[in-house]
Order: sequence, then structure tokens, then C-alpha cells
Amino acid sequence: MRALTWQGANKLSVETIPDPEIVNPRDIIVKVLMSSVCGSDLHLLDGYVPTMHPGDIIGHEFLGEVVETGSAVTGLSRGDRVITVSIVGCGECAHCQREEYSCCDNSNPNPTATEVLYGQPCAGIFGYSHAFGGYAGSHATYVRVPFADVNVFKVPEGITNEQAVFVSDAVPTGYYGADIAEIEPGDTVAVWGCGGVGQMAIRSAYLMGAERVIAIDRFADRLHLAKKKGGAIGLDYTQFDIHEALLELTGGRGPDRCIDCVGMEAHTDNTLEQVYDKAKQQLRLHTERGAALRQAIYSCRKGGNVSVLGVYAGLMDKFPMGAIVNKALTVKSGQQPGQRYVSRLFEHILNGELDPSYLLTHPMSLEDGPQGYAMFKEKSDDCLRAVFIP
Amino acid sequence: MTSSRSESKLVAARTTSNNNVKGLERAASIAGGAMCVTQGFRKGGFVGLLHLVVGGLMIQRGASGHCSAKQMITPNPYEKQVAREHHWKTAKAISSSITINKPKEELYRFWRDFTNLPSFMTHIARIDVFGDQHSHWVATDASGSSVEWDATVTEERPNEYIAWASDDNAQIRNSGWVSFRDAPNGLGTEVQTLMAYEPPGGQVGHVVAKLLQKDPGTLARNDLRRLKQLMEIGELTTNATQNKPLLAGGL
Ligand SMILES: NC(=O)c1ccc[n+]([C@@H]2O[C@H](COP(=O)([O-])OP(=O)(O)OC[C@H]3O[C@@H](n4cnc5c(N)ncnc54)[C@H](O)[C@@H]3O)[C@@H](O)[C@H]2O)c1
Ligand SMILES: [Zn+2]
Ligand SMILES: [Zn+2]
Repeated sequence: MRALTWQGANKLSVETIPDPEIVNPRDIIVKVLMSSVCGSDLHLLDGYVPTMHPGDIIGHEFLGEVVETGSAVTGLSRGDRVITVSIVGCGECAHCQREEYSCCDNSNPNPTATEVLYGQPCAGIFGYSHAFGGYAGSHATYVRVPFADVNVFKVPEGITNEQAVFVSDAVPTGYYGADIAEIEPGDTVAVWGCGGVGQMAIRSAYLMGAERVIAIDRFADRLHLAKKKGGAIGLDYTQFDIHEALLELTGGRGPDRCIDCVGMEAHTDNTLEQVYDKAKQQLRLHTERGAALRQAIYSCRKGGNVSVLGVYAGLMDKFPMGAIVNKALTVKSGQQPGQRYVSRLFEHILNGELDPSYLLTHPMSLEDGPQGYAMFKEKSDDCLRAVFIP
Repeated sequence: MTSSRSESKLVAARTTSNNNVKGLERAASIAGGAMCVTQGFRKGGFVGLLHLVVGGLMIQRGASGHCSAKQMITPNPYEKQVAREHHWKTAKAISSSITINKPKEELYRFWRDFTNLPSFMTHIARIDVFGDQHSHWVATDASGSSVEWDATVTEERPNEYIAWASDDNAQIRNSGWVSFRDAPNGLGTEVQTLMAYEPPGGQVGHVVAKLLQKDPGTLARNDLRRLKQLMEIGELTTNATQNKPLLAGGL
């Protein structure tokens, strides 16, 4: 089969490699119909997530067709149109049974790396480094999916491929972020980052009763979509002092709920902060570029919630702990436990309350994968998400 | 005869004081440092100098982590106690603990049939069981060298505790126990294990050293993780995409 592989920092290539096979009884093989880029891949590309090996297949947000099922798989059969949640759950450990799938104890076959880094081993993720399980990703003709009964969902009639593919990752991530922000009616929610994840967080915040959502980014196309599709107020952080603007929009209180959809490569115009963070990051001293998260914590109203969806891999300098303590903030985070939400999300789509299909700005051939990522990384040609069709 | 009173205690946890550069971080430090130094030489000038200084610091930081090897040799209080109890010259003990989402009766039953242990213990190739109390253990390393011994169950309390020890003629004298306790909040069972052995010299010592080449604590924890996988999900988690027979999962 053909697959888009990581060859080194910012080096991708499409290779021919053996087709995957069923290995365990609960496995299935999916023939990939669509596989999307995600902001998380940029952290891999840029070399900020350790334990990538040349030849690793990336990609974790995908839709496809079941072509083969393991002996213990029931409820799925050849030809089913399915999506797979990008973070792997086993379904049986205490976390999975409490629907905390992204905290699964069993799905990472290489537990030692995250155990050393984070104190406890973390769940496996498709195409997301050996520390997160070394699972082959979805930018390929076929992908092997373990624990299919837990991680794979049939797409209902009436939902298009373009809508369904993002229910694998971007949609449940945004939804989870809004969920853990504990939005109450009347709340103002501020969302940093208007990529696929931010767009879905905006929509989800409204679905959960937010009165008003303020979206922050610097790209005009993304801010435009946040307004037009999400119904948010857009703020270009290169034009406004974000803290001043947020106070002004909230009667001086600050937003009730803040959602970070940016992550460890946040961009900032504060040159000192940027130079400092970036130099340390480049020197592999494992610190994050945390401008967006710092700002979210700084602007959040007293007693508010900060929900962190943006991915961070290591340690952050100048983490504003003082603001968290003295403003009594609640910080929540996590990789998305999409399995908990998929059926609810399909309902929202069928009811016309949510339509993620606009995230797909650039359908492309898998062979053009490297160009797709270059465009997504530079945010050129108004690229929100490039989706590969093998 | 031995250590039932030691169960559920903090046993072989080692201090790693003055050694906060661990594992991956250490490897990353050395690798990152080396990269910085290389870049430093290439770049020259002030930026290059900065790279050189930072790179050197990182390599030093990473390399100094290795002194933990020395620390491993000094026995901790529990190891001294085990050595006294067994009349060994000295003892090494490796303890580990995991919570498994299954009732303790089921876990006890699985463990009490010692022929099941090789399915999750990396270095145990085979265990033959004779009668209710006796067994023969074969440990093999990757190159195929092996160590064998006979063992006897020394104490057991159904659904709670099993202890065993090697017989006197053992090539390598060792003992172990496992305890099963209900975990709080219906989380299943807390399984705690301890394996102790008398560090042998000579050829046998060489094989044992190879068996435990990796950090023994990590090995023991990963053994328990495989047990957890077998009990909870009935298969060993793997990222393999080709259906070759697996030795022991991906751990
Ligand atoms: N928690 C999860 O399960 C999960 C799942 C998917 C993605 N993610 C993470 O979510 C983040 C966003 O993913 P994405 O696919 O939307 O990525 P993306 O790259 O498409 O979008 C990120 C956006 O953040 C904006 N941004 C950068 N710096 C900013 C700043 N200082 N203030 C405001 N906006 C800023 C960028 O302009 C960009 O539009 C990434 O960190 C990704 O790793 C997490
Ligand atoms: Zn993602
Ligand atoms: Zn699980």
C-alpha cells in the first residue's frame, strides 16, 4: 500500500509498504477513504514530540470502509462506512469503563516512555510517535485498528463523508473542551485558536448554552469562518490587545470560560516571550511556547475555568501559577475521549445543529501529502484542513 | 516461612536523590546536547558559542544521571531483611504494583496456576508444575542462555497471597510473593509482587545480569501490565501490523 511517512523534522515522503494484517482478535482493517491533517501533526513535524522514527506513518483523523474483521469483532462487517476515534481505548480498564477513554491503561504497547515523562503511561494514539504507542497512522491505503468494538463507529445514513471524517478528532476535541469548561447559561466563552479544533469548540460552546463566544486568531480566513459558521465575535490578536479587548467585551470581568485550542507552538508578537520560548524549544530544553495559554489564564475571570485542548509535550516556563491560585481558577485538560461523544455528535449533525464539513478546505491525493502539510503548516491558500484521499 | 508480614509494605522503592535527570529526559539531554554542540561548531560566532555552552551543559546533565547505576548496588533495608531471612549473602529485591479491573478471586486463580506465569513474565520461558507445591522454572534471555531452578510454595492464603522460594540446590537462589487486595471504589484488585534473588557471581551471574539488563523495576512493572492486559482485555496490546507470532506483546 502507499503511506505518508515521517522521515525527519519537516521531512515527509510517500512510500510503498506492506499492507497491514489482522493481528489480534478485536482488530479490524479499514480501507481509508479520507484522512485529515491535524494541528497535532505539526508538533510531530516540527520535531517537538520525541520518539518519532523515520518511516513512521502519521495521520489519526480518518474515515473509511471496513475490509476485514478479527475473530472477536461483532457488530461491524465488511463494507461498513466507519470513523475511528484517534485516541485508542481498550474498553475494559477502569478508565474506559468510566468513559475516560483517553486515559486508557491498556492501549499503549510502549508504556515506558510516557511513564518516565509524565509519571504514568498514557493511552495509545494513531500515528503519533512511539511514546504514544507506535501505532501506524491513517495517511495510508489501509490501517489496522485495535479494539474495534470500542474505537470504531458506523456512520449513520444522512451524514456525508465530509461531515463524518472530523468526528474522528476535531469535533469531539472541541466538544470535550466545551464540556470540561462547564459552561453555564449566560456565559461568555473565549476560544484561542481558530483551526479545526477551535472552530468546533466555538460551535460546541453554543450547543452547551454559551451566551457568547469570542474567537481569537490572526488569520482573516479563520476568523471569518469563526464568525460566519460559528457565530463568534472574532478578535485578531495582531490588531488588538487581547486582554484589554476581552475586559471591554465582558464588563471588565473577563471571560467565564477560556479554551486553549492553540498548543505548544503558539505564536506571539511579544518578541521577548517568543524569542525566549523558541530558543529554549530549539535547544531541546523541552519548554513550550505558551503565549496563548498564559494569556487565557491571565484574562479568565476570577473563579472561571480554563480548558486546555492545545497539546503540550513537556515543561512550560513562566507558567502563571499565581493567577491560577489567586483568581481561584479551575484548569482542565486532556486528549479527547471521543468514544464518549460520537453518537451525540452524529445526532447534532443529523439535527442540523452542527456541520463540520466546512473544515475540509483542501481535498488532495495522498501522493500530494507533503505539499498538503506544507500548506497546512503555513496556513496558506486559506487552508483550514487538507484531507487526503488515498 | 518468610515474609508474609512484609506484604503490602513499601518494599523495594529506591531513592533517586540528587538524580532528577531520568530515563528519556536523560537520553534526550545527551542527544540534544550533542546536537547543540554540533550546531555550535557549524554556526560559529556568538550563537554558535551559546549552542556550545548549552550543549555541553546538557551532555553533562545527561551523563551524570548514570551514577544511579552505583546506587543500585547498595542494598536497601528491605533487601537486608530478605537476605537475613533466607541466609543469603546479600539480596536484590524488585517490587511492583498494579490495579487490575477484575475480582481478586479470578486473579488469584490465574496466578496460582504457575504454568500461566510465562504468558506475561518476559524472562520466564517455561514453568512445569509438580503436585500442588512444587514447580520447575526456566528463565531465558534473548540470546537463549538460560537459568533453571526448582521452587516450592512457602505460604498461601486463598485469594490473597502466594509466596514461593527456590529450593536449596537452585543455581540462583530466589523467592517471590504476590498479594491481591480489593482496590477502593470498585476499581478491581491491587496486585503487588515482589521478586528477590541472591546476586550470583560467575557465569550464572552473567546470565542474570543480562536478563535484567533493562531497569529491573520497569521490567517488573511491564510484566504486571501484560498480566493486566491478559486479564482485562484478553489479548496483549500491540502496534504490530504484520501477523508474525509475537514473543511477548509490544512492551
Ligand atoms: N486534546 C486533543 O485531543 C487534541 C486533538 C486534536 C488537536 N489538538 C491540539 O489542538 C491544537 C489546535 O489544533 P488544530 O488542528 O486546530 O491546529 P491548527 O494549526 O489548524 O490551528 C491552530 C491555530 O492557533 C492559532 N494561534 C497560534 N498562536 C496563537 C495565539 N497566540 N493566540 C491565538 N491563536 C493562535 C493559529 O493561527 C492557528 O489558526 C493543537 O495544539 C493540537 O495539537 C488536541
Ligand atoms: Zn488530532
Ligand atoms: Zn482502557
